[in-house]
Order: sequence, then structure tokens, then C-alpha cells
Amino acid sequence: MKKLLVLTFLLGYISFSQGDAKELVASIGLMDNANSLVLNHETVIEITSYDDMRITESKEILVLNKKGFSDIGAFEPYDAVTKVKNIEAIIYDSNGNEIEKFKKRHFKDVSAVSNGTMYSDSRVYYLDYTPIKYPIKVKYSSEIKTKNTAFIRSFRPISNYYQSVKSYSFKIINTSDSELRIHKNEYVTEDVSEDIKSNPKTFTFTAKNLKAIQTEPYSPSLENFTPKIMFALSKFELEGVTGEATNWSSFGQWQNENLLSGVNNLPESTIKTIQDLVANLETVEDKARLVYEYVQNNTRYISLQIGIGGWKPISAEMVDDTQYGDCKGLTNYTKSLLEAVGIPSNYCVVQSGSEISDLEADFASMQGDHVILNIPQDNSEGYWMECTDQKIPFNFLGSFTDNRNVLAIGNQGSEIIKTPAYIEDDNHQSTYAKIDISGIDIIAEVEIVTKGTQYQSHYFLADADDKRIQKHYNNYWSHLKRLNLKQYQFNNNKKEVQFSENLNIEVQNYIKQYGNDLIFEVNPFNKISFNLSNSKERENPFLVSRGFVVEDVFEFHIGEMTVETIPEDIILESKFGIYKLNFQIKDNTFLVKRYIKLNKNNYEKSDYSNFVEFTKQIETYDQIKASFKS
Amino acid sequence: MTKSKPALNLKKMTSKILFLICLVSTCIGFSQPQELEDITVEMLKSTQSEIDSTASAEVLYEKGKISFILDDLGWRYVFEMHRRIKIFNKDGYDQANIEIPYYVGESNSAKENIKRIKAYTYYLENDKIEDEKVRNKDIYDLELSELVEAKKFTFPKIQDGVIIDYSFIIESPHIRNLPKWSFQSKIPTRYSEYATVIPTEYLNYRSQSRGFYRIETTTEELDISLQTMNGGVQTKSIRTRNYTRNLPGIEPENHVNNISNYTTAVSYELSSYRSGGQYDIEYLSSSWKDVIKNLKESETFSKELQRTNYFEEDLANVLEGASSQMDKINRILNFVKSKMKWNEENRRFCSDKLKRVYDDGVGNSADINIMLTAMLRHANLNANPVVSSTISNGIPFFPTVSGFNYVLSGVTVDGQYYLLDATDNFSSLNLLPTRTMNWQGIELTPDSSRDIRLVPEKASKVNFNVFAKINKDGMLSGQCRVYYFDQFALNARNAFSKTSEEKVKEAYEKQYKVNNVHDFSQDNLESLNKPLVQTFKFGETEGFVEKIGEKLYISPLVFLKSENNPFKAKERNYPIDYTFPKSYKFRLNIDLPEGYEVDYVPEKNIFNFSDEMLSFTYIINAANGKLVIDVTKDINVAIIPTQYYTNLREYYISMLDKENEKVVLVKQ
Repeated sequence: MKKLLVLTFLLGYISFSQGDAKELVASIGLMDNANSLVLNHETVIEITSYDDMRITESKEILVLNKKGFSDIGAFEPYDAVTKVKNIEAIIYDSNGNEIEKFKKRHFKDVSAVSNGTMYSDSRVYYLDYTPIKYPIKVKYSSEIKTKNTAFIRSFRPISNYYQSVKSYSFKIINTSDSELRIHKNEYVTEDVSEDIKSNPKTFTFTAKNLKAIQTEPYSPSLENFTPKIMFALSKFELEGVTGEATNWSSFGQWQNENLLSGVNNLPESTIKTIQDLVANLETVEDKARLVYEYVQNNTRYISLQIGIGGWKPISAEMVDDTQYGDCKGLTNYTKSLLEAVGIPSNYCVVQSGSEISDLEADFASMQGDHVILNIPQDNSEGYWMECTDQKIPFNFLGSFTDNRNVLAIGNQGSEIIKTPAYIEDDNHQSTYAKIDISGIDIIAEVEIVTKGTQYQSHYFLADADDKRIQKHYNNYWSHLKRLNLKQYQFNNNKKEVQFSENLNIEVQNYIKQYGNDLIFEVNPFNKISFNLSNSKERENPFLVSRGFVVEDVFEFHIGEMTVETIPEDIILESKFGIYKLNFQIKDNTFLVKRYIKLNKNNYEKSDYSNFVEFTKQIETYDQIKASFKS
Repeated sequence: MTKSKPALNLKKMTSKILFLICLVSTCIGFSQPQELEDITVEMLKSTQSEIDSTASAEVLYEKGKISFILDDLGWRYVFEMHRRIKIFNKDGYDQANIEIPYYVGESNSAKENIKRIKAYTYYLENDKIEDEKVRNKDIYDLELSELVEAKKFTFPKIQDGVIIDYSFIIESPHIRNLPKWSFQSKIPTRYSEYATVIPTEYLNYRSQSRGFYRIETTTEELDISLQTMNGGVQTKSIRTRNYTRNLPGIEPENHVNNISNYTTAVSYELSSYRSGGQYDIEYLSSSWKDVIKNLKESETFSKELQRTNYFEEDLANVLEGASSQMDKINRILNFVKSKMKWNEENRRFCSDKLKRVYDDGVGNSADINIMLTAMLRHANLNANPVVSSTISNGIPFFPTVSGFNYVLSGVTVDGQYYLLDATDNFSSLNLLPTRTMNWQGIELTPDSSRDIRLVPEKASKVNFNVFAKINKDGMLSGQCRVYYFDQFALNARNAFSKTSEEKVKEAYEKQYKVNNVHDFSQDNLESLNKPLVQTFKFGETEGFVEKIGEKLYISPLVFLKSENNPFKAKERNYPIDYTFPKSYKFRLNIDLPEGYEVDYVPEKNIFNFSDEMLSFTYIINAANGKLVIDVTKDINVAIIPTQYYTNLREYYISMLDKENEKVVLVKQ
């Protein structure tokens, strides 16, 4: 019944020619949650030599609304070694009539310099078209010829949220004498059929009828739960540099010899400066911290991607002179400075972002989008440095590159290693408040101490101006309508990665008087909001990737007030974590203790609704009130 | 002390908005303009801005200078730009990334040239001033679009305390409008100057400035040698130097429609010119009268308004059997709305011959509303185009054609005036899309013109009716019905017509934090003369009632209670812009659980803000096991001036406190 309703709703909505309407009915499951529907997509990749690859794409996509338009992917980047031979798009209306046709010369051809990048020599052809109404059908085709075989497009039938796929076939033909290696992730299942032929070596992968996936909170990143097949050549070319590798060790060695060699020289004066700086220090940790802070104080991040410079760092000498560099340049600069004081380090390639994404441990290829630095130590994880950030503490990566596989490239060999994880107890926050009651106002001394990923969202306060600080607390405590922040003092302990906020505040009208009752919320200073909804069944995998711990003490000095109702203690415990709220009255003091632990874990989809209930319970408990009489 | 004579109601047009835009008249200042000083050790050692100690960087000096040359390509202006910025700390390092866009156009004659880019970083080394140049090879060329390119570079040796200094020259044939100069940016500006040297025997410009801060001006007459293709020619010029000192950085705030309306800035528009060889003087718009004359002479407002061939036949069918003038208007508006799709472009002129646009069925705002006006006139209605500027386009500096970017249609029937906009499917008579609610429009009648108010005087209404009950566990369930009128209906229709029922339900669940929204229905989506009505039921939801001991504390406005005060900051620089007047009405009927009796009910209250600019009524009654709550919130003006802010903030806090009060029930 529900299905039928949806169907009439859609058909009433979108009028199609008969053929299309039938198609729609047939593929009705594909309309759910879809902004666009890939009717047919074919990719053919032909590799004729280790430095010659041709990619032909043709797609037919039904775009159902404005949000779906950008998911056509009607653009092709190019540069000195990658040519766009052909690119074309035809737009049809819902009756199948051609509205507009775009040849190569109608595509926009511009520099591909994104926000946050100073300059890049790559360019892009893209379709500049604004549909007047939806739905429309777009036929898109392109043909690319490139010498860069270091990157081969992956087969990812689901590459966008809210896009369903009726049919996608992907063919890769290798006639070169370089071996083609293949890696399938665990989500390549029976949905994907495969056909392998030899002479010439040809793989064909086909996927049909894949439903659209929508974004959901607490999901892994899209490519970590959808099919993905990666390809790499054992001999390949990158911007004119030839490479040979079949595993991470040889791949790392290639990068070390071709991309990282000859870029580590420093001017004598700088070497002397840095050696003098660390001269009186004993440990590797102390020396490395000082070198790292020297880099932070003397350079800044500028993104520059030109030719092989997209992969090869600009020299340490150049960074030393201009005092800027991109992630590769700054990481290599730090590495060179460390070298100058006798500390070897590894240049580590990583996929960055708060959604944790690993380099594929058992498949060596060009992966990752960022580099960081690691000083290996025998009995520990070693020391880690994010060289593009001028404020982050030494040996702290935060959620940008934590807990994931990276390729550590060193002179002593290269391997996949894991970055440090920040889980549960590492991400600790405590709030301690001494609260005096004055009429219906409260006056409080509050101390907030944060560590780990919690530190990450607080330490900016150390450098913020008054306006920003006021704004922060007004938002942080948005439930306190009449907040008056009278004094604040911060302590940014970079060594311990711990941030303390000491505040003197006043909240007017905190205590509500209804008749004779004086009511107030027992938790004035640390309310948590998950804002999750259970309205739909969970579709995506469900995980809590880091977790955290919170410990709070709120000490109300109640003076002459007498207790009317104090809530009972609360303990809520589940597989997702613990929530505790504890109350005591002692010597005119009403003491509230609060504890939350959110566990890091991979859960079953079916757990999600219980998780939402758990978070809703916590949100409710955070609103609990006590009632007093004056 | 003279200012060009206010023409055609300029005074009247601005008087209403004077409190937000302070027109600064040109006058001789007491202090003198400033020349660029040498960089000193003290400058490099300073650690904070004297204007704002929290600033991460500040402009020490900036100067733009305009002069003119005449060669075989015609008149060109030469824009010499020099800027010097002091960087205090890391948050200011972004100032060292420079992008200079310039127009290349499609032909050589439209192309601007950029040259002599010089950029240096000045820093201290052992208390000695050192400098480092940005090398030419580190200046990149970039295409921003097919028509615009840019030079991009970053400074070397950036450290806390350094001073960066750059200059360049742009030569441009686009002399009609000189580069707009803003004396303020995100960071404080110690000194900013915009100087022009205008050969007044050939070219005349009108300038206009605005913003909160005073711009000082000096003028002098000079004899200069004008560079022409035949060498230099002596001519008289007027040199004007507009300058400001110590302006703070500009920061966006909420409830501001368009921040650029408040930035201190100056703009120049060509008013008359004489080409080199000939001696005819051509006048361009320099008063509202001239602007209107120019507009009226354009293809759009002359010929296209009169062309009727292409629609005559269709229109005859549309109007067949039309009974009254109002009937005709509605039929024509509906016809244009269904026939034409808006391509989301705001324009003052038609894109093409309207016949072609009509055939394509797609057009910009001028295409569609000029066509509408032509049809109305063809049907013997008294209709005229109304030119205007959208909110995003801001308020024009001074009488200028380019200040307008939109066209509406106005029609008078029996002394009643109606504004129409056929770009929006859900618009109707005197109900225009929100984007148009800026400043005012000018109606171009065949032999005159007049100002038209675009912000509605009547408040747009939205009413909520809630029937709910609370059970003994404090769970709330019931039904909510929302009536959207006027502007709210227009916006809601646009939003809901593109959204599936599921999404609408989800949106209500999310916004109101209620469970299981069901039995959703929607009426009058297409009946524009009626309110849009949405009704839904919601399942048992906790969170609106609190149980403490033997008592229940009910938040009587349940999910209609405001969550946050939009005015958290203690101070504010800009007026508060509500865009249009609004009126909210909430009526709630709540059945109380059995076994409880009412212990406390909040007091009734009426708050009034400054002569009823805003008002809030809160009436609550508890009787027969029921709560009946009537709350109204009226915003009777579109804009509230800045000086009311402190009181406004207090008003919002009191209102929120009232909304947060509780009804207390005790167990019997």
C-alpha cells in the first residue's frame, strides 16, 4: 500500500513520456531517496603502454532535481600530459526531446584552482548549464588520453549519495607489457558481476540496480561501505617520472628515490640556527618539539600544485627562503631540519579528513591526499607532526589524520603503519563549577578542562579576540539566555595537549519561580545534544569512530533554601556507553555529579534505534530540574 | 559644501532610509590627505592595532588613483593601486594571499591591462629593516571565467609583525563606471584614499559616497598634460582626493540583508563626455531624471514594451470571455507564469527580442515582466514597468542605470495599485518574491515616473492552531494546523511544491522535535487567494512536560516556544533588518491529565517595543482541565535602526523568559 502511494505521488509529480514512465515503474526502487538516477554508464579504459592510457566514458543520467545535477559529473580535469580529446553533453526534457547540445567548444575551460589553493597548473572542462525545470535526462560522453598511468580510475558504481544506478559497466583493457594489478574491497559482492578475458587482458565489471544511499549520522565514509575496485600498473608514469612498484615497500622506495631525493638541502645558516637551538636539549622528544615549533613559527601553508610538484615537495631550501609551502613542502622542510639535528623521520602519505579512511594495506598504488611526519621510536608509536598547522601541539594529529593506515616513507624502507588513535578516555572533558545563588540569579566559577579531540574544539579560544570568545560561550551555553561572562582565563598546555578555561560568570534569572516553587536545572554548564531521529530505518553501517568521556561536578551553594524535590540518582548503562547523574545534599550544598562515556565501536545497523533512544534519554536527563523553597 | 542638486525626489527616496545610509556630502576637510611614509622599525615592531587591539592585521595605507589617457582605442582610465598591510599575528596571514581580478572580455577593445605589479615583504632582522620581493615567476595567471582573469601571488617571509606592500596599475576602457572604492575591509584601515584626476573639459563624473563614517575630500584645479595619441595636450583637470582615517573592520551580523549597504565607500559614474576629435558633449545619466530617460530610450523600455505581434493571438484566446479588468489581470498573470520559466537571472534589460524569448519559454526578470506589461497594456490596462534593485544587488550609490537589476510590472485599476512579478509561480497581485523587497522601485509611466514602495506595509501572517493532550506520564500528542498567508505562503509554496510529503513530515519532526508526524494534509497549494494550510498529527512525545516529584511542569507553548535569542551580542553596528513586517499567531488548546490540579499559571502579559514596532501578547487560561493559550508576536516594521538595539535585545530576552515560563500541576 505504501509503495503504491509513493508511486502515484511520483507519477502525479513528474510527467513522462510513456516509455520513460514504464522504465520508471520498473525501476521504482531506484527512485527512493534519489536526486539522480544513472540509467546507463559505461567506462572503457585502454592501456596500450605504461605511459599511454585512454579513458572513454558515456553516461545517461536522469536528473530528478536541482540537487542531483552536480552528480552528473560533467567535467574533465586536464594538464600538460592529460588531454581531453572529446567531451559532449546532450540535455533532454521529460518527453525525450532534445533541449540543448554541448560540444567541446561549449564547455567552460578554466583553471582548476580550488578555494584554498594558491595556484595549480591543472585545468578543467566543465558543463555550465542551469536546467530550467526537472526532470531532465543528460547524455554525457568524454574521451581522455593521458600519459599519467599512476592513477587509474577506480570502479565505484556508487560514487555519490542520493544517486541510484540502473546499470554501470566498467571495462579495462591492458595491452601493455606492464602488469595490471587489481584490488577489490569487501563490498564487491554478487551485485557486481565480472568477466575476464585474456589476449588482450580484459576485465569487465558490471553492476545493476543499485539503490540510492542517503547520508546518515554516525556512518563511515561512502567508499568504506560500497563496492570499490582499484587498479594499478606495476610499471607506470607520473608527470614524466617513470615508476615501478608492486607492493608498498617498493612503492615507497620509488617515491623516496624519485620524489623525495635532492630536496632536503638547507642553507648553512639555517642548519647552524637549528643546531644551536637544540644544542642543550637531551631527548629526541625535546629536540623534535623545538624543531617543530621552529617550523610553526617560521612558515605558513600555501597550496601550490604544478606539474610533478603536485607530488614532489618543493625543496627545503626554497621553503626556508620564502617561508611558505604546501603540505609536502612543509613536511619535507621539517624532515630536513630534523635530519640536521640528527633525528631521522618518515614522510607519511595519508588520506585526511574526520571520516577515517585507510590506505589499502595490501594494495600499493597512488593513494592519499596529504602528508604528515613521523619520528619512529622503538617502544612507542613515535612522534607525529601535522606540519601545515601553526597552532596544533607537537605530537598531536587530532581527528584530521588519526587512527588510520599511512605509508611511511623512510631511507630505511617504507611500510604501512597506523597513526595514533584518540578514543574514549583520550577525549576527556571535565567541568567543575562552584555556584552561588543570589535571588534568582547564579554566580559561578567554572573550570573546563579538555583533552584529545575535545581539546581540538576548544583550544582556538587561546588566540581568539573578546568578541569571538563572547560569541563562543553564548553559543556553547545557548540555553543560558542571560549569560554574563565576567572574566576568563585560558591555559593552553601544548605539552600535555590539555586546555583549561577558567571562567567567572553570572546567569540572571537562572532560577525560575512558579508560585512558591524555585526550580532550576541541575546541569547548568554541560548539556549534550545529539539531535538524532529514529523516524527512518537505518540503512548505512553504524559506527562511533572515537567516543569520549565527560566528568562534571556542579556544586550549588543553596544557603537558606530548603529542598522540595531532589531527583533520584540516574544510571543508564548500555552497550553504547554509560550516563550517570548523582545528587547529594550536604552542609547547604547541593552537589551534582555527572558522568558520560560514549564507547568507540562498530555496531550493527539494528542497534541504531536503541542508540537513538540512548541519546534521547541522555538529552532528557540533561534537562532534569530540582525544586526548592525559599 | 555643494552637492549636486537632488533631482527627482532623491531626497524623498532616501529620507526613509536615511537612518541606515548616511549620505556624506562632499566638503573640504580640516585635516590634510596623507602621503605614504617610509617604513620604520617602530612600524615593524608594533604588535597591535590602535583601532582595534584584537585585529590580526590592519591596512596602514591604501591609495587608489585614477587618471585618464586618450589613444586610438579611445578614452581609458588608469587605475594605480597601492596597499600596505601590517600583519600582527597568524590569523592575519591570509592577508598575504593576493588575487587581482581584471576584465578581459571578448574583444581587444574591451580588454583591461594589468601591469607593473610590485610586491615586497618588509621585516626586521637584528633590528634592521630588510625586504624581499615577490619574484615575477611567482605571480600566477589565472582565468576566473571566460571574461575575467586574475593575477595571483603570495608574499614570502611572512611572520608576525611584517609589513606587506604591493602596487599595480590597471588600464581600462570601461570608463563609464570607475572602480568602486571601499574604505573599509574585514581588517581595520588606518588610511585609505581614492583620488581622481579628471580632465573636466572632456569627461565629467558624478560621485556618491555612503556608509557610517565621514569621508573627507579635497579638490583642486590643475593644468595637466593629457596623454593622447598625438602626444600631450594641455587641459584643465580637477583633482579630488577622498580619504578616511582609522576605520574599524567590517563584520557581518545576522538580520542584515546586505552588508555592502553599510560599508563606507565611494563610487563614480560618468555623467557626460566629449570624444577627442569631435566637440559634441554627450550626457549620461546624472540625475534620476536622466537615468529614467536613459532607461526609457533603451530597446527594452521602448520597443519591446510596444511589440505585441508575437502574443496577440494567444492572448486573445486567454482573454476570451474575460469579465472585468481584474479578471483580465489575473488571466494574463497566470498565462505568463505558465508560459514562461524564469532562468533565475535578475536583469534590468531583456536578453533578446521578446518574440524569441517567448518562443523559448525561458527568460530573465526583465524579459518576463516586460512581456507581462506589454500584454497588460495590449489588453487596455494601465500597466507600467517598475525598475528595481534586488536585496542581493543592494541599494545603488546614486542615480545610475547600473544600480537597477530587476523589472516588475505595476498596474492601476480603479485607483488601486498592484505590483506583479511573473517570475515566481506562486506570486500574485501585490505579493512579490522576497528577493525584490529592497529599497524602492521606479515606475516608468509613458510621460513621467514615480517611486513605488516595494516592502509591504501590511504584515505577512502565519497562524498556528494546536490541539493537544498531555497524559499522566507527561507525554504530549495531538494535532497542529498551520495557516500560511502572504509572504509566508509564497515562500512555503515554493519550498513545499519541491518537497516530497515524507520530507515535509521529517522537517516538522526535526524542527518541532515531535515523534511520528502522521495524517499529513495540505490544502490550497495552488489556490493563491487562500492561505496555504498544512495539518499534521504527532505521536506521544516527551520533553515538553517535566515531572519533578509530585508535580508536572508544562511548557505551555510546547514546540512553538522560541529556542534562541537571535540577538546574543551585547552591541551591534547595523540596523536590524526583518525584510518585511510579520505577524505570528499561536493558539493552543491543551487537555490536561486527570488526577492533577493546576497549582500555578503564568501571568498574562503584553510587551510593547517602541511605539508598537514590535509587540508580544501572552494570554493563558486554565479551566475545566484545559489550557488555552493565545500568543501573538508582531513585527510591524521591516527595519529597526541600530540605536534601538540594546532595548531590542532586552525585549527579546524578556519575551524568551515569558515563553519559557511553566504551568505547574500537582497531584490531587
